[in-house]
Amino acid sequence: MKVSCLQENLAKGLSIVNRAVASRSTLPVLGNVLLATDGGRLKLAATNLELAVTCWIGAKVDAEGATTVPARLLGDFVNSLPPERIDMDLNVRTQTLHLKCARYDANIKGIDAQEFPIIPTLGDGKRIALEPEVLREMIEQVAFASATDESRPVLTGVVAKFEKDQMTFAAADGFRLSVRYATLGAPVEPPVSVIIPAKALQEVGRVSGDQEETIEMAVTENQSQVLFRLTNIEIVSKLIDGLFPDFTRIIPTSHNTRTVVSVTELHNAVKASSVFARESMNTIRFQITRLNDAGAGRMTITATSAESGDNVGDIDATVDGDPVEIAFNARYLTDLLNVLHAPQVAIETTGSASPGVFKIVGREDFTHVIMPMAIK
Amino acid sequence: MAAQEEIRANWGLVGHAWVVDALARSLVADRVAHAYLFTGPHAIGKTTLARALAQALLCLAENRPCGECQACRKIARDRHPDVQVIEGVPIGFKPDENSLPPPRANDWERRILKIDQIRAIQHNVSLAPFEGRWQVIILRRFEEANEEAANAFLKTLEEPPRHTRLILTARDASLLLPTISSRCQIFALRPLTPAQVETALIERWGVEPAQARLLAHVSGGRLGWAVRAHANPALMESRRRHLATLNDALNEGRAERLSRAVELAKTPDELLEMLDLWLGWWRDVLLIQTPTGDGARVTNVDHTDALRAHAAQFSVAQVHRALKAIRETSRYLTQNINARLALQVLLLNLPGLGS
Repeated sequence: MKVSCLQENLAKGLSIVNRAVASRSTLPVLGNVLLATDGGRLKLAATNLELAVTCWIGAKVDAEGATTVPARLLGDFVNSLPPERIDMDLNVRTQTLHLKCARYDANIKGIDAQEFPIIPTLGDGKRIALEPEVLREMIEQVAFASATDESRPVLTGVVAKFEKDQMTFAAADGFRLSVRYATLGAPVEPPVSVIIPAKALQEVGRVSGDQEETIEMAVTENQSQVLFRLTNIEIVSKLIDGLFPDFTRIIPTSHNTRTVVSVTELHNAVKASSVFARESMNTIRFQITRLNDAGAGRMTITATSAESGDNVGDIDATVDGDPVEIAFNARYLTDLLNVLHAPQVAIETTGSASPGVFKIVGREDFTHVIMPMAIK
Repeated sequence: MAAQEEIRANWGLVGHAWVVDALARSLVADRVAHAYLFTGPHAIGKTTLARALAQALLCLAENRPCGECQACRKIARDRHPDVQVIEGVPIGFKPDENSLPPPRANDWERRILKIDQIRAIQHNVSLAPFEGRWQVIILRRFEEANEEAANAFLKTLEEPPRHTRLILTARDASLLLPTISSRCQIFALRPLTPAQVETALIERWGVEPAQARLLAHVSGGRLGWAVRAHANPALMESRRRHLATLNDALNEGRAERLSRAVELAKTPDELLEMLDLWLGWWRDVLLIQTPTGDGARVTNVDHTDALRAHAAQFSVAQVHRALKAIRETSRYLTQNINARLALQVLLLNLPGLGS
């Protein structure tokens, strides 16, 4: 293999694939990044067997070939090089990659590319075209609600359903549920339903920042992997095997009180209260009251700590229904308010012991459910 | 699914034909059990058989397992992304450190399979296989799993995800929790015959015929041990040393035996291996003493004269006592008992050649 590319391109490509490098694994080759010539481009790939990221960068290929070299070592070295042309030359017999950039030279010992796991590619299977803007927002609004502990593996994922021209993402961790719908450009037939690890989706969200063209998504024939294809980047993730709980049954269908408040005001009030909530299991209390029949009301946000003191915040609200008092975990509220990107949020409650439903005012495509905390 | 002719009858293994036969038939019928337990003495071929089963499941060729395709080759070297070989870590080793456990020093090294390792497996099997149709987890020496780890594994073992096949190996099923062994299909591997080991050593590993014959007998039908002893002469050397220790001790009086035990206790890592060899020695003596004279099964063929002398000199009851004392001492040594005291008791209990 003999190939040349620009330092900026190689550094950027390595930073994209590096997230998938396995730092500690029984397979030494997983700590390496695959470098392979691929039709006039240089292909970089890394995988930890759960997630595989492949990235293509522009290069001048003088001789075809492939090798793998330690990812961290290569990344650190390339980052310290000046922004000039890098020439790479592989000694096949010793599997040593020689790099030359400006007045720097390096030899990196690698492992034969044959050892590298075969990363699945998109066959002729059906592809689903996704708008990057929409996909990014869906990932942001749903993935955070997935569980981080492994006791129920399906809950560490996001269930993605595609039926006709409708797509749904949902995630839950036992205390909260986030569901987001969107309309697809082209209908999907037959329906697809898979559980994608939340970490993999967040990675898709991360690397798709500059993406403008549509992102192609496909599920392998044996339903074991999902692939996202961006311009010059492919992300393959294992799917989680199992049955996702029927989340539609968790969403309350009726409510006694509907409160509409400004997202910014609520966010600020929650931020202030969470300081005091830290010592009382993050409990933040909402007191919702109606001031007149026209619907004008008030929401009082309080947090109390036995040791440090307490705090009360007040914001204007439009209240429809009975007054209510309900408590939530401050962290869950903050997570939610961070991703709403809307002026107003509607909170639908049935009582202090029933889950609260959060919706974006004027939109039907997002539902978030948070279990309340006990009020003493 | 898999058609009749797709599964080979020959998996390239030496011996264990009946197990291969049974496994091949279950593959043909597409009725591979979700969990297997292969039992048998160290280095008898349990993990080799487990790898062969993984190859049969994941091989890419028409006739599985071919042993030559990319998948088979990766499995043979433990480099396949869908086949994981897990074994215990040394005592005091922290799995979260940024390093892998060192290779096993010898067959008798004490290790523990920890709950963290089980949890990592549970995470891995919750995800689909990477390259192939199956994900195969090989858990070596499951008797080393501590109780928390074994209990944590029960649910996965009973009902692994549909793409997962679990293969456990252990010295003996009775060393495992009954809840573990009852959840597996068990194959108790039997030692190979000395002739099988001898032929395999000559044909596959190019060992000199005389050396092959010796190794075949000494290995007690454990091909893995014979191959290792061929590659690493230190194994035969330590065997020679341990047997010499036994023979010297038999000629000694009480005071000398007590001080010998003190010396022996200074190398705690070698004791279990030594006692295992001693057991083999007395077993040979007993074989020669039995009227049917099954001399062909004697393992220490390079010491026949000494064995015959012992057989003539000691009574059957004495030999039995020696065997029992050695077995008990082995057990004590794995139970945190003062090694020096245990060895002193053992040496005093061995019969004497002198007076």
